[in-house]
Amino acid sequence: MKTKINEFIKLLDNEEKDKAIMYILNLLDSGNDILDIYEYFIIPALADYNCDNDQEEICIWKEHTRTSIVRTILENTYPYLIKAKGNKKINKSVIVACPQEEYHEIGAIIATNYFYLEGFKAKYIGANTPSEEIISAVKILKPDYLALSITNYYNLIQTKKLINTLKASYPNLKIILGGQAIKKYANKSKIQYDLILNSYEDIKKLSGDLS
Amino acid sequence: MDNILELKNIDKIYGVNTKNPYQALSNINLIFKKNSFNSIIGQSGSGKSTLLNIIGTLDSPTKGEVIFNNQDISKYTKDELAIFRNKSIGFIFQFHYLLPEFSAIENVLMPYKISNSKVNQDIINRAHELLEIVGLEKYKNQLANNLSGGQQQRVAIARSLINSPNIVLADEPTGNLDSDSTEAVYNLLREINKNNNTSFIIITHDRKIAEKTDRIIELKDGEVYTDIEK
Repeated sequence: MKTKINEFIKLLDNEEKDKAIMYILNLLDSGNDILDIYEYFIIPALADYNCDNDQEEICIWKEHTRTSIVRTILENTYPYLIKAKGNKKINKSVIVACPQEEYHEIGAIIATNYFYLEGFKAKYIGANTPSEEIISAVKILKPDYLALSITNYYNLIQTKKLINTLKASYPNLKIILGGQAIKKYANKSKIQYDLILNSYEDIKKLSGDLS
Repeated sequence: MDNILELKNIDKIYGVNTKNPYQALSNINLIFKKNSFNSIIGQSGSGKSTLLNIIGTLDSPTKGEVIFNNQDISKYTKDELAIFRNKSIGFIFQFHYLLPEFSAIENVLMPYKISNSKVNQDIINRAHELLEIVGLEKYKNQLANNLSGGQQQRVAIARSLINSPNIVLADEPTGNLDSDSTEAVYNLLREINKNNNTSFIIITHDRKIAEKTDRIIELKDGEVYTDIEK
């Protein structure tokens, strides 16, 4: 497995988009589990990415290129997710979003797919979603859970206000938080939440608790 | 890391002995580390400028202590405070307050001239160096009025550093600038923070500045509502 992971990472490092996508699709066609692809290939490809270039601006667009490749892989592997889900169903709904000004959405997309895989009725409503749009989605869709993914620590400020507003109007709505900013600063920011979920195991545990 | 500044139980009430006193700050407790790069955000009326004025000794708290480099400056006399402020704190404001009839270099030298009767060659060299750091060496003899808004703000940054302060307090330093000048001023402040070991506390409404600082303090209704450090 380690050799295969390294081969895949090398393709990403060289920004060989076509080869990277086909590499993952071939692994899935030869029987590898979609969850393993997420856990060992896709997530580490972004989470463990270190740009060793001194020039920050080069690192930014290189990271964006990598993210774009990973996004294509996620979209192209979705049929495997449908197969893996089978008939699993939980009578709970979750809206997933990145709050206003939060553009890092891959974590939110992966979380949505994990919720889906565990049988939730999961809907991803987008990156950089204005607070009023999130409130509108909650009002209309009446989800059991709202999951927000936050990477940039400044966005905790806006999200804190959003959650306070939501909790005042929808006290039964459960707030799930995840993302790098939450991992590091959830306690310091004193942001309100019901659950912090950062991995498939966390979502699986929630699903198990609900079943 | 050592602390540069500690605020202990700070209250600020305007009109204490009037019928309608107004509490601008309530029980503020904050510690700032040496060489740190901090931002203070919050809506208008949240107490940001009041807090910065207290930190800068331009105003005094109704209650509480301001400890600067382990010394309680709340107990300083007015004259002691003026000397302390001039030597230890640099100020940058949204409106640069340069003296229009003086050149860029004369404006930079002004805080030094206030506390020292004679300007020596060392301090003149320092002023040249600071103007070079802010990219304005070739404009040193231009009158302040003949400089653009971004250039005037950069002169104000150089001026804030002439006495080698331990800390620079900036109140909306980019509030009056376009986005390119904002980025240039941010980069300059960060460079000075890194190279000169100067601490910064910046009040800003600009998310592009706040999200790049190492610590964001949000004030709401005169209280610390959020305090996140990277």
